[in-house]
Amino acid sequence: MRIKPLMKYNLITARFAVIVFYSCFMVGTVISNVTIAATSPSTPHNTVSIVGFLFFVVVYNLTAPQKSSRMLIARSASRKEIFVSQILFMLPLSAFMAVLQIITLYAAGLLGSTLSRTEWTGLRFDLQTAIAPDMDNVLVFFAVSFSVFVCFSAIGYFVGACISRWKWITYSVLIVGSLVFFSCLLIPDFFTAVWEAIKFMLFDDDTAWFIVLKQLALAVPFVLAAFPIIRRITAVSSSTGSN
Amino acid sequence: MNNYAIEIKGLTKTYGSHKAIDNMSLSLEPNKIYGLLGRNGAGKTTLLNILTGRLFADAGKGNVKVFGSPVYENVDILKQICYVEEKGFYSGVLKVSDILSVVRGLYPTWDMEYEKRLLLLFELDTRKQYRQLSRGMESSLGLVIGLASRAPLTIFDEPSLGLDAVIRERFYSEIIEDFTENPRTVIISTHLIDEVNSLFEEVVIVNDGKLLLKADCAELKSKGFYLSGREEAVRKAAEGAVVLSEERFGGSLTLSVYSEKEIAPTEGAEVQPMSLQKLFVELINPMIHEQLVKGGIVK
Amino acid sequence: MKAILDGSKSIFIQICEAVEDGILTGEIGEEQPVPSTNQFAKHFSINPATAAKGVNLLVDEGIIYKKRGIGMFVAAGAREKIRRKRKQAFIRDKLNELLSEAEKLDISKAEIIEIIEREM
Repeated sequence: MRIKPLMKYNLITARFAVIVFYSCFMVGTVISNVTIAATSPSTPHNTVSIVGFLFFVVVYNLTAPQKSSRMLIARSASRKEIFVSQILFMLPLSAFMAVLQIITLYAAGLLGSTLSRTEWTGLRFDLQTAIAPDMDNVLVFFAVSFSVFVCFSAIGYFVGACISRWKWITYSVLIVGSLVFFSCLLIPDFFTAVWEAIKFMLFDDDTAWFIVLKQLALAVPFVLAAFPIIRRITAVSSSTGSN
Repeated sequence: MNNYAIEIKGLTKTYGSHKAIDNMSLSLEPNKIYGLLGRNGAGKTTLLNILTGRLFADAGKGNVKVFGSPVYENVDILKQICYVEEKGFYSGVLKVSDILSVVRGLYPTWDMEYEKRLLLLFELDTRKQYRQLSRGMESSLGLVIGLASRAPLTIFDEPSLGLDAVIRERFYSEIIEDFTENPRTVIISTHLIDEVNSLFEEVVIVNDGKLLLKADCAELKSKGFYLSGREEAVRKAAEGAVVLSEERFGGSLTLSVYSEKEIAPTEGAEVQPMSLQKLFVELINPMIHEQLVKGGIVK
Repeated sequence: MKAILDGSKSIFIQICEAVEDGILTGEIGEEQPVPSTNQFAKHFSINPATAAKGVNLLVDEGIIYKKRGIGMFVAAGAREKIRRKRKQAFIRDKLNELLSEAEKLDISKAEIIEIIEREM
């Protein structure tokens, strides 16, 4: 398998995306955190930026199987090589984003507390109480972010694979599905069930390492399910073909 | 065991109710340059896409082998195939140098020194982003990739799109130059028939998703003639040849004919060779298709 | 030797004629090497197989011969052979053309002879 050149392609395409995303996001996060810290010093405010990073990995992995795959098939790469390289690439990308996230949160937090002349409590204040007791440890925080990114990447990749193979069917299913889902949220029992599920996946009373485990366990089936879909994608602009 | 570079049997590809490829069988020998000719929509690109594993044939319809093995998910075969399409799928923000650095790693036969020479020859600025390339520069990038890959099966689909005459001429002499040193199987699909046909050893003509003809290019070309002059003299000279079309102008008659044998000029009948492009246009004419099939000229 | 191809005839016939012309004018002497198929192909940007066809025609006619592993050479007596062949073709094609054109223009036999004697 020719994994090296394919990883290189993933790296150079991601490079642009990361630079663009991060330069906008970093500025936004710092400004918003500084403003919030200055106005109401005691509010937890870091979760907003976590959503931003999640959004990035999802979007990146949504588009990867669509755009990159077509180019790589056109350059004589096999579907298996493409799949393996894209799945493998999720790991360094998630790790890198997790590191970037920590840097951003610390930078924004420090800057915010300096400006508002309050004592900075590290990540403890925001995350330890909300997510898991050991979240104040940088290593644990990194592991949790990393696993959540991998999990969301896997889900994004699976959906992206579906789009690249059955474009309009997937879009219809996604739209109808989310309409049904959000309507059902109005039912109190359903809402509670969903909330419980999210709590189960993202919070833990004992240790954050369980969160890591749960996230990675969820990522695996999505990755496995994406493979047979990727194996049958074509490199032609639309599934009905052009001549 | 025959050693075809490409072997296609009973290939069919349908889009809805339209048959893009209709029960096509075709074998190409290794280390030859083939010209793939056909009108737009004749099925050329679909054929090439299936051949290179980019697209799938209809289920159970078609056995396609490249260098003796199926292509699909076959890395050993895939890395021997370089198909340069009309339009690359590269991400627009990538620089030419980025694209080359990736593509280089995909072909074990890639020649880095040759790549450098080609970049100069085709005047390509590697610092440019893909989206900044003009149509001609995009084609040039394709030429660099196709040639430098030295892939045992190299395919160019409309390689000269948007290229100026200077670059086109450079491409023609470069491909022959490199082919004589490093023989490989080359397929060139083109509409510029008269300009490119001296590169071909054989031509493959497809029409309506079917194989119409596969023949030695120089021989095929030497079979087309124009006969013109006085009607009876022209008719007499055309005996034994297949008349493709006729045209009257003033008192004279001009026949386009296909003849296995050389036709000598006679008293009252002038003979002129026909260009391959003209011959191609005559041969795909649906009006005389039946007649050509009967004459054994096309399939 | 003619170094440019045109569209008037088959490429391999033109290659053939180019070599013949070279031999006739003495550019390539007998027992001298002839460019290889690949050299022809590169020089004219044509498919080597087509160039080989032209060269093989000359080999078949005994005008050039192959020395295994070394290349191709002009055969002894090739010049004379070409001259004879061309002469026949000249009479068959060019003279006949001249005569039929003369007929169209009502030029008499005596007149033609006179012109030829004056020009030659």
